[in-house]
Amino acid sequence: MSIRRIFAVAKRIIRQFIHDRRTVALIVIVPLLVLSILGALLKTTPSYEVGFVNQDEGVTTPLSTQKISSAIEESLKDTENLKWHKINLEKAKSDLEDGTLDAYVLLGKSFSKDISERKSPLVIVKLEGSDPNASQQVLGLVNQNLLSSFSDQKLVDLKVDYLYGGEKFTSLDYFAPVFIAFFAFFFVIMLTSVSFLRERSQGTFERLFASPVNNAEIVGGYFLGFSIFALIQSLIVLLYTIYVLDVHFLGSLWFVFLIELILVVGAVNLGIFLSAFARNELQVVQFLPVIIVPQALISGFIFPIKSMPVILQWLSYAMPLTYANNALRDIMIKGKDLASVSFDIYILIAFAFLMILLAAFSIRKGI
Amino acid sequence: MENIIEVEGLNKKFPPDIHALSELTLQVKKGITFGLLGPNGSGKTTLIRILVGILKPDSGKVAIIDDSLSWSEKAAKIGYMTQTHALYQDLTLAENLDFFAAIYGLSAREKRKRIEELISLVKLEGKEKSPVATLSGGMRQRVSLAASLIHEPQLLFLDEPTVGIDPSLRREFWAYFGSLNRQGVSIVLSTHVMDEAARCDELALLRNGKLLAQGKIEELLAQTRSKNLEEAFLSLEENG
Repeated sequence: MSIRRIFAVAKRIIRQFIHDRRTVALIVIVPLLVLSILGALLKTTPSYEVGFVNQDEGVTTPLSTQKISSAIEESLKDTENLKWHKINLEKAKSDLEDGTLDAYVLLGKSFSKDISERKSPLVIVKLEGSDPNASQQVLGLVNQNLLSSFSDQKLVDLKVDYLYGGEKFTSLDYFAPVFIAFFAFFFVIMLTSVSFLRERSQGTFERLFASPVNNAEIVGGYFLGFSIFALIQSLIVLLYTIYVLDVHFLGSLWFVFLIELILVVGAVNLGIFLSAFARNELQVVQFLPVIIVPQALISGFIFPIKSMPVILQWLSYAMPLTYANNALRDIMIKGKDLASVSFDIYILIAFAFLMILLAAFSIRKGI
Repeated sequence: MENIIEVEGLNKKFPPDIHALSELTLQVKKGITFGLLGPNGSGKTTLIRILVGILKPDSGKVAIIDDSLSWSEKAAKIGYMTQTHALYQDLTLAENLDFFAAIYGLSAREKRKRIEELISLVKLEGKEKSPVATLSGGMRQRVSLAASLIHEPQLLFLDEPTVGIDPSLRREFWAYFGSLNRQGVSIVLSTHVMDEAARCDELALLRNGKLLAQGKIEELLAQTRSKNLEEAFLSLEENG
């Protein structure tokens, strides 16, 4: 064993790294970027919006009408992670449906009467329900905040109801839709960028560009080829999650495929665009953590967007996976139709067009 | 036109300050094998890449095949064998040829016929189902030539076509180029090997992106009073 030779090998590796400045920069930037995002996300405590609907008609005595619920209503205080909104039932229902509220608490008409008669008053907690973790946390916070204002907590019969999902919903139900989008997005970007780079480095592009084929035909062919595999992958992931992992699925398979197709158009073209800035496969792979990790962290994949710091919320709204996740969750968990997720679809189409433009301008770069 | 290629005052620079081609003017007659002779970096590949439409010149005129045709119509008549093998390594020999045939719009029947003819021409019978990655360098060179001939082009550009193939096959390639010329196909090939250049009908001698001379070999030898091409090249270089 020669120390001199070991040093020679090490010196060569260091020199190669120094020549590849992008790799050196990424080694430093990627961990700092990921740590900054994670730090910001984990430091933030989630905040929930809860409606308070008081339908209590009070109890009438010969002297006056008394509302026991008024005292409870006045005692409700906003905390760091729970904000109360005193509203009527109609507004509560619509706010819960459009995601403005995470839950609402309903005190029934006979609330005061029941308490005065030492009967259990009707108190309903209606949860949005699509995220089981959030549901549990909201329920815990509501219990803590609301029940503390009751003098006799044992008397209260809290009835929990769900807009979507239910008690049997698990975290897997919540994550399954985003896995479908994530896998397709990630693999299509990776495969397209590597395939395109190979076309450039192996000279096949040179041969192709001397033939009658044009940029649109190449991009169209790539999209068609990769979307077939992305859809097969989605179908396998979907069937596996539904039938093996027993995930709840309420929506239409065709809607899922449509969202997937639009996402794949964007991903194929993003892959083409990225390949123009890499000289070898290692450099292409280096792009992936920069593109994929932030999207996985702040696209609503794991952490709810509305609980994130404002700057991360803005960043998440600039990311295509945010809209794909949202649309797929709405379709798969909430059973919504395409019209209900039209905004997400338009944004995904806009992203796909932007990527097509970028790919068209970069496709011949370096040829 | 009598000439299949006419180039006038062609200039091409690459950053930061590389003059790949400087005021290059030349003509290539129809139906001949035209050689671009010069050392590495003399501008041969840059000129070919401009002629096949991959690169745009900074200035100068290029007339190729027939000016009344659109670029895609011209491209359909051009065959291009690049310096690298330019093949899909994970596809088989037949799959590679099938792909390039489809790009040029050959029907299924034409494809089958041409693939069979070309595999026989490049003597790779029995290797149809072999992935290109498993073939030797010389075999890949032959597949690359077959791919550039798949659509029976009228004008064939060959960038260093006989590198890595054995002498007997090289002789067969040259015989085949001759038969293509007789069928009216024009060939432009680049080489830095003098004895290969000597087989061409006409030559352009290039150095540092400039044309030193153009003409038939006997004209170039007479012009420089040289016994062979190497001497002629050196003489032109000294006087150029």
